[in-house]
Amino acid sequence: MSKRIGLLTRNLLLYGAVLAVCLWSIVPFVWMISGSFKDRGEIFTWPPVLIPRQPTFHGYQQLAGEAMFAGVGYVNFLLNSLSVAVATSFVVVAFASLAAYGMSRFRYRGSTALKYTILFSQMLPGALLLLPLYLFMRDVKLLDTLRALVIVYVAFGLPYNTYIIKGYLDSIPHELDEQAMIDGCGRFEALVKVVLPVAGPGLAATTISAFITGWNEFMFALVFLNTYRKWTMPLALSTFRAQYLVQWGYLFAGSTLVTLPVIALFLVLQRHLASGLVAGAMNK
Amino acid sequence: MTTDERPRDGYRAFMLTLRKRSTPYLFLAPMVILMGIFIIAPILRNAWMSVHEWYLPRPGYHPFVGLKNYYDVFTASTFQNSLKVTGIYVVVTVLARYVLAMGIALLLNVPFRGRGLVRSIVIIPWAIPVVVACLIWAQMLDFQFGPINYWLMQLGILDERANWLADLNLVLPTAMVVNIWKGTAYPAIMLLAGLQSIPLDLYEAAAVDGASSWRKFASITLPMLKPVSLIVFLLLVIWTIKDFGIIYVLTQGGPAHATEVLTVYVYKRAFEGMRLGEAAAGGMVLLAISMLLTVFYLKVLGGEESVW
Repeated sequence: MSKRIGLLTRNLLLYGAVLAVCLWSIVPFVWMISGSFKDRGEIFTWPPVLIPRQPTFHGYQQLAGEAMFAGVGYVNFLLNSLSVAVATSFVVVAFASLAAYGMSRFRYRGSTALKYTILFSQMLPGALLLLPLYLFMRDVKLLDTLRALVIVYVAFGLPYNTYIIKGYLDSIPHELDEQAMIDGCGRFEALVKVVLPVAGPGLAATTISAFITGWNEFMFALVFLNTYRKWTMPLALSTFRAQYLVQWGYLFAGSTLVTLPVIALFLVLQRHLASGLVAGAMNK
Repeated sequence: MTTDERPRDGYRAFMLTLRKRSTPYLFLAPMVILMGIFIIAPILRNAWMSVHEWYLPRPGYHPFVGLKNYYDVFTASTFQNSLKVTGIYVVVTVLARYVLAMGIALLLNVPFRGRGLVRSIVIIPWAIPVVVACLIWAQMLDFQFGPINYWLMQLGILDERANWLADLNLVLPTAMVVNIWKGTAYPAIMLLAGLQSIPLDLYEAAAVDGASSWRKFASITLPMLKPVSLIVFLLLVIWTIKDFGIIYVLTQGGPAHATEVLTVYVYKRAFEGMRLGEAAAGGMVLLAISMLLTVFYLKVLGGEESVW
């Protein structure tokens, strides 16, 4: 009897803790989604309401239709973010695969120095590089272009993703590419045709994480981009929040649109999050 | 005849070795070149800027000023303030996130129905873009209409509305809460993966010896988690020092510098104050702190093997 009570209290405690953790994690997310269906009146009201009494698509309609200034609307910002993120992820994965293959399959002079440089570059504060890169982009006339962002995101993403992909390549037996080379492939061909397809899932995970970095980044976008036409979504959202009269309805709608794809990607990545990160971070 | 062939053979052999020797570098070249131009060179340029006069409205005028920028920065009360704010922000949020993450990881390591779903829910704050997270919290923390005030008043914790983002005493703790909310999922998932790699027979052996739960946690779980914990700690500290988005979007460092961390200070000194030289000096301080921590981790804590 007392054992059953013990089990019961244990379960109560367990599920109580689980519920608390879930609420803490999800309430702001739910608040955003519910806010995206609210009209002005329901956002500026006391007491605040969680579930809109008169749900409206007004926020989303504003996003889709109205041009904010001079023909530039949210669709534009979304497309900017999308192109930056897609370009970043593809270039990062291409270059990182090459470098990871080089690190995984060869012994070469300077390997230790390279490893430490990679580790070190992970620790670098972006704010330190902000000024010199701003001046650099100004000098080469790339300020206020999306290309400048892609270049910077690629350079920053390369070390980490090389490191992660190297972990995947190390687990693929060398015999595989050696056999391909005996069969007449060159090194490069062996990498592209034989090794990379085997590393497919790992590469997919890397592509997605590089995409998310490009999709979310804020600081460099803030410093590099001036004209509305070039803005990425995070920059647009943060700027419109700073306005005098905040239009929460469509800020929340915009936020929801930016967030949902990332959450979907995270759920896809879920299995890799732990294995990839821990294996990558600890290489064990 | 042989004399004719020998140089050709030698040439071929030479080209072959050259090709073989250069192969790894060809693979590494794109990464190394990009890192050189966009990571290493900017650091050097920043170091150079930090010892020269560099005022944005005065282009082309950059005389060497020695350590003047550093002197100006270190004697400025705003910089001293930003060091203090960064220190508090880092220590509190890293400790809080580590403890919370450990709790969540232990919870998720217990088998129960719906665990997969809970795991997915727990990573949501991590998945939400920083800017969006700050927007949501800014609205939730709104003085007049925000639900946080309402909920806390309903629960009897608050008697009247608190002005979370404008009150000088509340704003830093508030920003820390947002940081903790956003940044706990990552260490939790890392620690969970660490927990799951601990062999179960260790616990079974301890159970045979009649060890209590607390005893098992203290003498098996914690020591076995040490390698993961070290790396989680280092990453959390470095990432929090680097963090710019949360503070900037939430408060822009204000009110009255109350949340101005080092990164925001550097940004403001450069792009609002236009004193690029001083901002560069501030950046070098940021770099020095990050490097010290990394070296400390590698050498003193013996993280070297766990990294590679």
